[in-house]
Amino acid sequence: MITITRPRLLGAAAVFQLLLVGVLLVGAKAPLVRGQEIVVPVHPVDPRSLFRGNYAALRYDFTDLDGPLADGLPHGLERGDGVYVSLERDGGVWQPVAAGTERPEGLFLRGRVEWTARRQTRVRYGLEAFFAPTEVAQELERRVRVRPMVAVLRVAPSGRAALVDVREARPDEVPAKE
Amino acid sequence: MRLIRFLKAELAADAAGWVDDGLVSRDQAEAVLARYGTELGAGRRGPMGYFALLALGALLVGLGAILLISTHWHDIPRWARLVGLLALTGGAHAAGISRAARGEDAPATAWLLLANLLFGTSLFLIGRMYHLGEYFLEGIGLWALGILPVAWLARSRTLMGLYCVVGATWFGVAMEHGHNPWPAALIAVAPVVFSLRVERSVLLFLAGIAGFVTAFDLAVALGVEAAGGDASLLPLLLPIVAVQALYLLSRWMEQAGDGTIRDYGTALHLWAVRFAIVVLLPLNFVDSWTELAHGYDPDMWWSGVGLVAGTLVATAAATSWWQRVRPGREGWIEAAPGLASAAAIAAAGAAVVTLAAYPDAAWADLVPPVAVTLVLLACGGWMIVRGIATASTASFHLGVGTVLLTAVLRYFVLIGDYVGTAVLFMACGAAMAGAATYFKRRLAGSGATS
Repeated sequence: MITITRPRLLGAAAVFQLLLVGVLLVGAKAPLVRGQEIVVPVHPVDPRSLFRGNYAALRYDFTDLDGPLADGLPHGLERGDGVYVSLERDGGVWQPVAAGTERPEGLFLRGRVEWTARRQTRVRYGLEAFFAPTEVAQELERRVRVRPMVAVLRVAPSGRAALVDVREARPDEVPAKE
Repeated sequence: MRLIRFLKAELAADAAGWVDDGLVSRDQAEAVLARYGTELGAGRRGPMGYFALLALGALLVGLGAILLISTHWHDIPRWARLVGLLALTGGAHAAGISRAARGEDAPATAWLLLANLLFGTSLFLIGRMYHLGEYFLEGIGLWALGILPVAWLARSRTLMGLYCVVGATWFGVAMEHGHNPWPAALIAVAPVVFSLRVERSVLLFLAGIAGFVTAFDLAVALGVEAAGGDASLLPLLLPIVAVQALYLLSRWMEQAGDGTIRDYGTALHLWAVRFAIVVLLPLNFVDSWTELAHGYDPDMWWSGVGLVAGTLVATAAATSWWQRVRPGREGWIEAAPGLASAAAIAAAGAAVVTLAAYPDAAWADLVPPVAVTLVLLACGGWMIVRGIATASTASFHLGVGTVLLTAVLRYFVLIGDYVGTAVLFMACGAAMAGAATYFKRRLAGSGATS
């Protein structure tokens, strides 16, 4: 069943687990401390994670890259390839203006290709889940039907971003309709 | 007969009954049990039942904790939630280590199991607090990484089992979301080394081997695709190559001097053959090959031909190795499943490349499933014969099951319409009749009556 010949080493292994928790915590906090805060339009839906409970799954204007946004992407992109998306301020929100596989100047997000089909590429940035109690997640879903929503992000210089909040858009944060 | 090694506890319990009934003396019972590496008194189940209940209790409490962090905790500050959970994790570790120091094995394992589940819960709490993506692959990976040293130092098969489950979860999530699963092959090495060097466990050994083969196969296929090659044949070919390699490894291990290695070899031998059948059965269907061939890029013919050639070279090397270890007829018998699989691969690969180049060659559609069906029948017949020759009931039943299952599949999914399938059924019948004749000769040779 169990044989412990080196209890001190086993204690060290338990401390190692605490260090791993610290590594994850520091990685999660880094963009929040060093990053620039931006607001982007968002479109939530409501699934459940087996390990972390209910959350609102978020889709952004830079989740599915198609049309002019996809012009800068090379052919033959594979799942897992790195992609950079440049953002520019448009009123109260930030909008994607270009995408490519080279690191751009200015403010940008770094993501990974999830799938590609013809002229469309879906990219994940690690910002796609907003965890909340079931009632809050469902309330978010209800509100999104009547009011546009925005996500508050903090973006580190490396392009890694952290999701801070999801809320109703203020008047200056509603993107102009084309 | 070798399979009886996996029923040592039952054998020891039965032997104690024989002694009590006066059928054999205590010395005779001890002598018989010593041949299987066990002894009288090893069959008592009390401590195992106590341990199983404690471990299940810890597992349920840990799963409850994972569910609890998913509920309405937003009124409690983040730091308070995390510090509370880490304190519980540390407390469970301390309780486990202290119980182990007092020699209370079962409670120690249960506490350490709970501690490692709470450790995972802490990681998921951070993932939830900071909204770290939908799939949280890095969190699952850190969980496995944290469990490993504790399982190793505590020499606990239960914790290593938890490590395997978490590692398998990482593999599943990585595959589902398009990550190359090569780290899973590394993850799978740990239980193999653990079962060989630290604590004996056939289950962990087989789980590690299966995990390694699966992750390695898919990682190579994705790597070939990423390098610009066509890997559509690889996920089919590599498992067959792996089965041959595992089969050879198992036969080599069964000849080892160390009893533990021999036991692992016996288990691997049995499961390598089962794995081969699982890999081959889906290849029985015409549609799967047609789809593969029509999706195949004719300009990439070299990758298909190269893979088939590589498989044949590997099989030839394996066969020549068998001839060195067991010269003559016995060596050929041992190499037969590998040779039959290689023949099927060659035929199927050639047909796929032909179909890709000449899509109208309808006859080529039939070649791969017919080849696979014949190989399954040959393997089934071989296992029946081998089961009889070595008095291995597992091999015998597996052979009969394989032939019957192949026949049932063919009855529902015809090849070459009714006439083609009828011919295959006759081949099935001939295989069974041949096995029966062999069985009768064996019985006559041993002087038994039928």
